[in-house]
Amino acid sequence: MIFSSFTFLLYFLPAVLLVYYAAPRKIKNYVLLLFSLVFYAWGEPKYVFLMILSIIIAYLFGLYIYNQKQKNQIGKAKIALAVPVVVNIAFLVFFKVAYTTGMLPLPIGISFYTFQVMSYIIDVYRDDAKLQRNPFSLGTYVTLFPQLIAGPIVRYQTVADQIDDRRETFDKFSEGVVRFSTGLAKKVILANGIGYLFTEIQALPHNEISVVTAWIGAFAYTFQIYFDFSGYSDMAIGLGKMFGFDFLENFNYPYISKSITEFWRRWHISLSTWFRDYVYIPLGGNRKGIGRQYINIAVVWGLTGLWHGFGWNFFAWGMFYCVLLIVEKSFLLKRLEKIPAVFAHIYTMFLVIISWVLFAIEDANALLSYVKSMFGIGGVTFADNRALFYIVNYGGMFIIAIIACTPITKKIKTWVCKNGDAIYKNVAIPVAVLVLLSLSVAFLAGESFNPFLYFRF
Amino acid sequence: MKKNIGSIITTLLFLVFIFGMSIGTMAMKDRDFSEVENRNLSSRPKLTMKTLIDGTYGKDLETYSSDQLIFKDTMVKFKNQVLRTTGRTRINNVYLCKENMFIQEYREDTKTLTENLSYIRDWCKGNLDKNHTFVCIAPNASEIYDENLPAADMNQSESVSVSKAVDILGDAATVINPLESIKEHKDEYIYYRTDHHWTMLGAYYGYENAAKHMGITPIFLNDMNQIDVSEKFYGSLYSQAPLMITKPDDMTLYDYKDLKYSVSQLNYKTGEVLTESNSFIVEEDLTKKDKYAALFGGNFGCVKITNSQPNDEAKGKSLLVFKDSYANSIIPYFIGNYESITMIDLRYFDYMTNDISKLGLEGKYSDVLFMYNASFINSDTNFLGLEF
Repeated sequence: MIFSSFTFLLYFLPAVLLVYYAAPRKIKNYVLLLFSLVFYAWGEPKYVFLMILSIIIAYLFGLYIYNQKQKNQIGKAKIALAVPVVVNIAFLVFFKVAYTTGMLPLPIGISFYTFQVMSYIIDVYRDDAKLQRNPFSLGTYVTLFPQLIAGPIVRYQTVADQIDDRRETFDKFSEGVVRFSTGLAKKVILANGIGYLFTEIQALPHNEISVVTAWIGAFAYTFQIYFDFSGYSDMAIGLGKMFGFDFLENFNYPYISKSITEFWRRWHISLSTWFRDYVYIPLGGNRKGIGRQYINIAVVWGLTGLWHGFGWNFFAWGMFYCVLLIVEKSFLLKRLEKIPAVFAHIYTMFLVIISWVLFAIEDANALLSYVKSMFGIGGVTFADNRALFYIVNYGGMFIIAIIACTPITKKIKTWVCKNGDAIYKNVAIPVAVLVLLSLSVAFLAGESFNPFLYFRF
Repeated sequence: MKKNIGSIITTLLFLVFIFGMSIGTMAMKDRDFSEVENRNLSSRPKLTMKTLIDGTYGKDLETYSSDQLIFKDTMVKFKNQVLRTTGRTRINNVYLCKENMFIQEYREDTKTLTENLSYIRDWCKGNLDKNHTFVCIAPNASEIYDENLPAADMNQSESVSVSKAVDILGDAATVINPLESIKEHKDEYIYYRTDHHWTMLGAYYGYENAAKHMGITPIFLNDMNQIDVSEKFYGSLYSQAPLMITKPDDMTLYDYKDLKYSVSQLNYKTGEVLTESNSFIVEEDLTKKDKYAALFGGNFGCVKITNSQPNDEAKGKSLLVFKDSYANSIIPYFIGNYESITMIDLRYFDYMTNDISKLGLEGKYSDVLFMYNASFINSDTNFLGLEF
């Protein structure tokens, strides 16, 4: 099931809200667990058992690790740690390869829940989190439907306390409503509307893709993936708040970045911090000399690429960023800080857009052809009637998209809350929510194109 | 507590919205058909273990929920109106043009076009000679009103396609291209604003031009009864891109004052008469959404029109017509020119059991007319039936 669907909005969401708030405190987690399993199984009835298996293994080995550590049996604890980690990675690799070669469908959310399960077991081993003795509570954590399908990757330590001790308040619920409505609008209005453009452009015969058209397509994908993914994270965080949970932010206006380094502090934050804490730092980070540091960076970025897909283009995408980050780290970053911000921004976005083209097109020939169009190589016209058509038809939406990439709405909201009357705060935000919800439902109702990019992860 | 008021309002608003939409949708009776979108709406899917597990129930439930959503028509119109506000000028291959006009996009599908023209040519070669075989290609609104199209468009001119038709049909048939004649009257109400068809007035100018090529005397429009049948026609193009702000079409039909004729739907093979009427106008369709169907009641495999009072020119003459829906507006004008007209719509004709490839010779027809609009020849897939 996905949030941007009528099945979710008309049936699932009202039902889970009703049952959750009617249930006594002790039952609330079971309600979430049950509904989350239904949510997952709705799309993947068979694979829900894979997820349950993963949870059971983590639970049992978590207990064992804890007990062994109590007895100071570090060696045994280490082995116990390795088993669920290896099993989860094996699941992940197996299904990703099977999916890439077209043999099996990819179990939804597998890249997310395996990472969450591993974060639990590693945190227990490292004493970064308390052991969870209640298997259902552990289950609630892993399957929590707000973040189950597409993140953010919620580390166990983030929510460990909240599982058994949280309070739902009007303030938090209302914040959740605002986040959810924003995310839904981003996904249904912006991501879907603009995303279709890239799909259409990419399918055109090579000689019909002028330079301008190719760039419009690249921008379209750049917007689509951001609004799709961050929109989904907004909905996840918003829904979390409706049930009293506080998840960490996953996106922080990445397209205003002035360096690739900054970009990766703002994009898919939960993934990069996961790799930092569970791969980069254990490998030694930057504490074992510069050569080793570069190797560590390369390992993390190779894995980051492959996490997105077992294709050469995803790996190349990861390594593309690896090289850029190393270059920035060694000298470029300091230079970037000295030039005017606008140039640093252009430099960053130029590279980000190119990287998305690499990410989006898996076939090597198609990719080469597209990049040629982007740079006018091979007898491509600069601009044609089609490019003009796209500019006229999608320009308005692109402008809205650009504004939505900046923190301007956040700044307006802060200003309104500070300077405006309490009435403004009590009216403007509800009205904005109503507008966003109405538009989202309208766009969803009139829809024939509703893909979900991160579904393959 | 004051600072919580906003949170309470937002929370309640959200709950009312979500629960209202949910309960409203479930409580309202299901609709079978959407007049605005001109399509059937899905009904509640049956829940079985199998369909639940293999995912088809989930898909069907989603389609059903979207179709039966409360305020669905309004939501669809609202979305399109918002898109238009952001600068969108083409929705579902329909251009949103000035003066409240919808214009369907034309883009040549060369493969389909040339295939269809070849089928027509092959049929023509095996039947009557060029002097009695006519292919009339009606232009679409995109051709007449090309300057109404938005500033940037992907529309192509039909003239390239029509020259291809002339080249391919060559010596097999006489090609009638009424474009210029019709274009002279572009300031008159010759095409619908919300529908892809020409009006009966526009069709008349096509008939006037065709008559010249066919050697028949065209009836004067003033000699016919002008009947204003509707002011609220929301046509096919509106259904493809419904907006909140639309100006519907007026519908004006022309029928004979004195001439008696009959219209029947036939089973071509057996000759069995399925329906019979004394006018091509079917009034009950005027109360439905697709008012264009008031012409002949729509499209059928075989319709025969018999002129019971043929004049000297018409006596003994019979016309065979291969048609699409544009023909419904123009063929009525031919009724006085022939003693009988047999219309065949390949989309509904049982060409498997009829020897269609030799039909022109078998029925002892004086003339054969292929009456199609350019967009149809460019896209339809039933011309293959001509080979049977």
